[in-house]
Amino acid sequence: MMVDEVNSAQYSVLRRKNLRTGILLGLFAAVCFFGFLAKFFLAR
Amino acid sequence: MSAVIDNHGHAHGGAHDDHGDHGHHPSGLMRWVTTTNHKDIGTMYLWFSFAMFLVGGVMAMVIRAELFQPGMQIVSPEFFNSMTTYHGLIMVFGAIMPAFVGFANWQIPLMIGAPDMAFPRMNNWSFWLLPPAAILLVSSFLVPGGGAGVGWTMYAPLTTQMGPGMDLTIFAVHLLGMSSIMGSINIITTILNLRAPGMTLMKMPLFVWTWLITAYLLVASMPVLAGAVTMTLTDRHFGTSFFNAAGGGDPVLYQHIFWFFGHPEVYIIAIPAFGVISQVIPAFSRKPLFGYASMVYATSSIAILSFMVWAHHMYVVGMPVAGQLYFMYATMLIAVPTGVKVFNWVATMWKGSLSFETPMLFALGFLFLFTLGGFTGLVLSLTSVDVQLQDTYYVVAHFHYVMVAGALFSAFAGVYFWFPKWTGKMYDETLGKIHFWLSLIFFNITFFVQHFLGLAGMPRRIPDYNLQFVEFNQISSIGAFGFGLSQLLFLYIIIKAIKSGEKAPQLPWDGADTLEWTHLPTPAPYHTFENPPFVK
Repeated sequence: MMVDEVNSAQYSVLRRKNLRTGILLGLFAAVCFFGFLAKFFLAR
Repeated sequence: MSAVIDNHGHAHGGAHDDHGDHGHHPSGLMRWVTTTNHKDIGTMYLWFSFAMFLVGGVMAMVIRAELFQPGMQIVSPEFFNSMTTYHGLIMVFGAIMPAFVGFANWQIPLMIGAPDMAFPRMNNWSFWLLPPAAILLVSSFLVPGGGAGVGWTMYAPLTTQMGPGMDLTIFAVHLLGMSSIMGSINIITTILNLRAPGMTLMKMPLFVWTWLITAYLLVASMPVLAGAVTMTLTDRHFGTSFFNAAGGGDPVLYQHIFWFFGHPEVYIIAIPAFGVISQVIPAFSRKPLFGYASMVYATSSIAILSFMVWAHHMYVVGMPVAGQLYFMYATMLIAVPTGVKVFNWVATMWKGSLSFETPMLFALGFLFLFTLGGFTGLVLSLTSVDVQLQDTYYVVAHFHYVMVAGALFSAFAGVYFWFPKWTGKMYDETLGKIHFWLSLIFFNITFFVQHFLGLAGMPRRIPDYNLQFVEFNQISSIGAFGFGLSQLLFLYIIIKAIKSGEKAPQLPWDGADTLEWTHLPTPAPYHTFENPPFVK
């Protein structure tokens, strides 16, 4: 089944939206990990 | 989704024109190494988890063989400690978690009407981090000093005293954590962004809801575990003393950090299991799930509460009474939303048109036995009781009722339930029922008696025991061997069904009403929902 032009445009918008959500969640995990380590290393 | 975009790359300026042929994808081994298809990756997760289930199961057999008689028979105490450690780590991180991620990969896109996961390449990477982690875990037996004998909780200061096997285990946990974090980012993004038009959050099947909640738990708790094992690593090799009292650190700090991850981890395993059960029971009751909204809120409440109760695992470390009281009452509070869920499952069956095929049998087994495991959890939440029972076989019995009769039975229910959709074949119903009854009977023979052992004071993680514990240990070991052999029957049932199973009808379970059953052929084709369905 071919994806038509309208769908393609929707998919590229969706891809940007996915990236935004994914990067936000990744940042959250990174902040949890590095923030956690920093807390203990700085308190040493 | 990449499959869709790749296959129609011309629409994006020809960036992927070389993949223009819709049916073209690598075959043989390269298909599995390079695949970005959620169904392929789900299948790999499920087979990987079953392989690790067998590896962890062999370790359980070693443990039970040694415990068949008092005294030392088969293995050295150090090796016994390694067995309990890697049995736990492999079953939790290698078997149960990947099994439910396998379900998530297969089912979430199908249930929300999405063409694939949001990040298909990252999905591939998430899976392919697992085999190196498994190799690291198992190969720690081959380095000087052998496998780490620290328990799956990896408590300090034991971890700072182990040989290089501990380092391999730490790196394995890092890899497993990375895989889980990437997997959960993928799942959250898929569910939030790729739902079909009309599929509002409160119309999603409960399995999808439970995974959305679980993925948030994973993103929030896995970095904490990664931090804990990184601190252990720097304590071992880089001169820090976070957990070393001699250097001004505190081993109890490790326990706080570990259990801040560890208790949500219990629900990371249990909540997707709830999701599977919430799909199976309505399908075989031929009724919609009772109290859908309350199920969503109860699951969310359990997830939030799971971050507030970690110290009930460590009542005896020397905690102020006020702390003990808080953690006791907070833990008891979890019984409320859990009770709501159990009530809703029972109410779903009430006046339903019930039938008892294998998935439903496993769901009912789950319902009875998980509730029992939850109840013994409530017993253990009582500080005064826990002081007596902590580190005894009562705890072992409790969490095996949650992990095996809870998570594993739910996974079996899910495999039997969705197997026709995945393969287009039916499993042998008679053999499936035999698998259920053997599993149920041998599970209880193995673990029910362990409550008595614990109440009588038999400590866990010790390869020897006093003579008064002989009978119950022998019963438990016989049950364990039977349970282990019963799982080979499961492997036979699956292989037989794949090779020569009868063709599955379009709708094998007439009460199943989610998108994968109502909008897709059986078996589900390689690419699905390239154009999203509209959900009323």
